[in-house]
Amino acid sequence: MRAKLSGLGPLALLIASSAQAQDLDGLDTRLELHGFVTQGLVLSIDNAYLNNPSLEPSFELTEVGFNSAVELGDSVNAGLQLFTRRFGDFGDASVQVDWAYLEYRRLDELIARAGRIKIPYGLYNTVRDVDSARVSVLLPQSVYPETQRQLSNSLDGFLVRGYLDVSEATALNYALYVGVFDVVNDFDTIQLDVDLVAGGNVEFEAPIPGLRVGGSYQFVRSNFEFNADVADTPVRFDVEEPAHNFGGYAEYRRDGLVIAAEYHRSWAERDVPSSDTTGFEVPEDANALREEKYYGAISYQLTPWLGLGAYYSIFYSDYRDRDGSERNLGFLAHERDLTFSARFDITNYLYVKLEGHAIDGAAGVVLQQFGRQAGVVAPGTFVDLEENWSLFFLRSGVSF
Amino acid sequence: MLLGLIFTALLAAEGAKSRVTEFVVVAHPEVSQDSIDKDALGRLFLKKTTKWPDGTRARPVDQPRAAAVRELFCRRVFGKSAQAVASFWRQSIFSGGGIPPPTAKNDSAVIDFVAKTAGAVGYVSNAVKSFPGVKLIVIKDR
Repeated sequence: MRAKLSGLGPLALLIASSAQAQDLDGLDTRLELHGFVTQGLVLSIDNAYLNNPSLEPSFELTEVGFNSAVELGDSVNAGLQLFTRRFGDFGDASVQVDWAYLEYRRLDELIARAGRIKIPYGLYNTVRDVDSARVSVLLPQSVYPETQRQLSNSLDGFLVRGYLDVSEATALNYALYVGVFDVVNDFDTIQLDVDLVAGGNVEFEAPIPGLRVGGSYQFVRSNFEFNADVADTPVRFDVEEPAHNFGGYAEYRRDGLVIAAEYHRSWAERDVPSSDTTGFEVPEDANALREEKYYGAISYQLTPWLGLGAYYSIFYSDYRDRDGSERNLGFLAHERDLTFSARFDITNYLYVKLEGHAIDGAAGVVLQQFGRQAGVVAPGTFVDLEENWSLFFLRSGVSF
Repeated sequence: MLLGLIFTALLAAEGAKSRVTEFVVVAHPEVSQDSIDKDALGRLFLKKTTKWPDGTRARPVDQPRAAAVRELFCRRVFGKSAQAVASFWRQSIFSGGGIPPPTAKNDSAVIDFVAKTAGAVGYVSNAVKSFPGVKLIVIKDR
């Protein structure tokens, strides 16, 4: 399903006008319509992130979503969200089905869902697009890289989940899922196909009010065709990558304060040919994926109209070689991002955000250019990147 | 600790701004429970659980977002502001997690809805003196 962004205006007005009232009668069937629009300005200094290759301020930071959810009697729910984005180089402003599901809920402990489903991974993967519900513009990019969104956002398949009261004050949330990614290849150099995604998430609501801790595991089997010009020589590889993503997290929310931390790793033993048809030799260690990513974050709602936040996010492209010395990568092997954010709520529906990032290292920029398959590329491919750089955002949004 | 029939909640910051300092939880007369734990009540209103302990479907109904009694209820039951709870629902709505309980216009609309709807539960301000067709639920606070 694709349409141009400009065609959304009349649709937005139609949905907005019909979503105002909610009738309390006839609750056997309840229908709700909601939507959001965000527009931002991004300025990337010294390294071009998102709006590659330009270092000029860019307004290509637009997201629009409309959704409808319906409760059909006591046990059947359904929903659909249409979503479009232009996020620098990512997203082409076409309208896509972000999520769509049919859910059967006979027991709170066992809920089955089928369709295009947001993947419960880590603290915030299911809500990564919900800009209106957090202080920061970007989630920590080590764990939630915007450049990898379509490899983590939602799957086409099945999910079972449940909520179990362990005691009066504690509960367990759990989910298992299996499916495939519908990948639209954003990269010029890589054609990616993901034919299996399976995983689970377990979350414990602790006796301390506002505290939740959890863990996630995910298996992703992908095949990619890699094409690039390396040292003016065209090279091509066909690579299989069975990857394992896993990690743990904790979040504490109380009285406007949110403290969160996550630690994750991605690991794979790739099946990479030792050379391509032109005789190009694969860089050493290209047959392994060993990413490490973690962050600590804090935000506080000072007043109903002002929220402040900060996080420190760290990404290593190989946890066995964090300083990049073995691969001769130097600062391309890591990215450490110190971020400060401010959010101003103008009304209950309208907000404005300001955000600044001070970044050391360029592993995320490498990830942007080549995806998770950057390890296949020779170090000399990455030129004109700076070790210390910065990123600024101004973003406004409306949701209803 | 059993607080009593009326759940009193005084908030240092918010109390001075609002005349509403108490709320009362009301339920449909056929709801078998006469009391409920604060956390269990919170789970019903966040729709994490959807059934009463006897297995019947629970149907929570909320107050308008700007209502003082809603702020009071959120602070006391969830330990969060109404704004923070609204943020929770925004996350749920836009991630396909589900939609919030329906909202009644005022106290009398809450009582009307609860009286007519099997399994319904709501809350009203202490300004309400008459509760036709509903039962009052005692909140147990840990």
